[in-house]
Amino acid sequence: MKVEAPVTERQTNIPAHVKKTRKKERNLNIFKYIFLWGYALITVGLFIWVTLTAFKDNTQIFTNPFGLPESYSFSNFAEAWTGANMSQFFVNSLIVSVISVSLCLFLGATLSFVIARFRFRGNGLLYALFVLGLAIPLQSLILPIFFRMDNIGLRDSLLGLILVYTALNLPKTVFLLVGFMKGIPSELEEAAIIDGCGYWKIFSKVIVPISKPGLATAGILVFIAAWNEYVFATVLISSDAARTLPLGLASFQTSYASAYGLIAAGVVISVIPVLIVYILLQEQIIKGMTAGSVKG
Amino acid sequence: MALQRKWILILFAAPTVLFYLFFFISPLLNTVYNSLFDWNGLSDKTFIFIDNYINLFQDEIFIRSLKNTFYWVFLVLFVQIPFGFFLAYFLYLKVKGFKFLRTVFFIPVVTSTVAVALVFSFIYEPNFGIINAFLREIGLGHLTTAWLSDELTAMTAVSVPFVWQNIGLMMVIIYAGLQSIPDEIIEAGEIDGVGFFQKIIHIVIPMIKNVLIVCLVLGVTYAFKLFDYVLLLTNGGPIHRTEVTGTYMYIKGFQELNYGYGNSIAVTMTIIVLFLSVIINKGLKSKG
Repeated sequence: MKVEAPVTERQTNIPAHVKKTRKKERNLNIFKYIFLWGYALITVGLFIWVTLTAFKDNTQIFTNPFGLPESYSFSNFAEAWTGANMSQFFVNSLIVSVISVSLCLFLGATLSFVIARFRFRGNGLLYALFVLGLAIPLQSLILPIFFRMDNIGLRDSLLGLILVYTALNLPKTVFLLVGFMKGIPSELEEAAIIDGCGYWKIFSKVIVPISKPGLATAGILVFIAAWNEYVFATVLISSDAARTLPLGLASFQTSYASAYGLIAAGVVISVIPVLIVYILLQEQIIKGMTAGSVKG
Repeated sequence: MALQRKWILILFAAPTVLFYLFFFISPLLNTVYNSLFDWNGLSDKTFIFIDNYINLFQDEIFIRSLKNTFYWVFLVLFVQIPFGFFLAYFLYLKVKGFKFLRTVFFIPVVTSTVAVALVFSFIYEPNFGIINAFLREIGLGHLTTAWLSDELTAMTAVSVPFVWQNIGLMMVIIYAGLQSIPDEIIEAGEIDGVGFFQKIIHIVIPMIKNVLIVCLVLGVTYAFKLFDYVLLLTNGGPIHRTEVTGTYMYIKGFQELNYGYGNSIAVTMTIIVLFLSVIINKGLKSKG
């Protein structure tokens, strides 16, 4: 916002309404800071409160809910990690998320290459079929997907979950990658064709390397979605061994119902990896999540 | 050569297309098909055409779940988007600590719904939860309640995490929209000396109308698809007070094994979302 050169109050030629505006502006400025920092404080405060709770035992939680813990013992974290099996859930989540991302990027990139770089009949239709997936509430597919996975014997397996997450995230991936690949100048490809490269070489040696930022953005979004997903996991997974982190965490509610410190520790453990990814790759995440919304 | 090119392209696209057809499009069509049957998922199906839909709109619990879901749409429109707007607008007016603030505001968006739900189950906890502890502290102990199981407060309590979690998403989308407003337009408003709210209503909002439409469509979709909070915090209770369409579909399909009926709920949800998206896009955009 541009502000005119500072004018001191002593100058008498300032009209009354301008003075009034100045005062209003100052009030607005104060309000702005209170609003923004107040809201930020509440958000950060919540995370700190949960983290502090994770260091307390139940007596402390009940008698001193807001204060600092008496000592910083990691017993709740240790108990959650080993006793409550979070290490297993953590590894499961990592496997599911990483493979879903890889599969989604591979399937998404090959198709996006065809849609973005070639003209043929049905191109628009093919693209529309995938973008349609962005418009429907995915959770309404939960009943038929459960039966499909049950029929092919992949219910209650990490592989089944990977396939479901890949399918559910394809629309978003294709949308982002087609958008990105359309922006690549065609001279590069033409040069590769003159060099006698086959289509696979053009794809893997020219398009994929240039599309790295787009692939990274899509990959991060798919990772976060897969890492956090709960509803499909709770329907598909029933055995303890195949539980992902959100499932394991949710099960604490019943199996450790009154072990509040332990639940808090579980929340902290599950949030930290995503928080690290987010803080490191913030710009890309925000760009990806707002993609397409501004051009409207 | 042309023929060869065609086959190579098919080879490139086929795995993805087949995968998507099998795991996405076919389940989508299955939902519609199965909603026309009376079926528990195991024994023989009986074709009953649209009977599930007829029953649905006479089912009081479904109507309530639909009302609750529309209450979420209402909250998106009148709380989530305005809140996201003011966060974005104040950030846009330049503040100290911009980067830190934006980082913090967006954190809930990348946090899992389970973690958020558990944090809120702590906040509402009757004994040590922030709300009750605070009320006791300031001498309003008689107002304490079990927020999630009290009939009067349960729906509001379960809606707060839903609204709160995606305020940051609305903020970044609106912020991106604000950045696309040409400086001259904002400056012109300043020279004319228009007030704070006048500027927002007459200059800023019309300029970012399309972005606000995107937010609204997104919010409508979220209201119909994010039922994790209800599943985790109240499971639809007390006595269906907090039931939303998603949880009702889940209960019908998986707990009561009324699979055909559950699918008719899924189809209704999808149709409402698509219908509202089209209406919002067409209705609002054409005026501009």
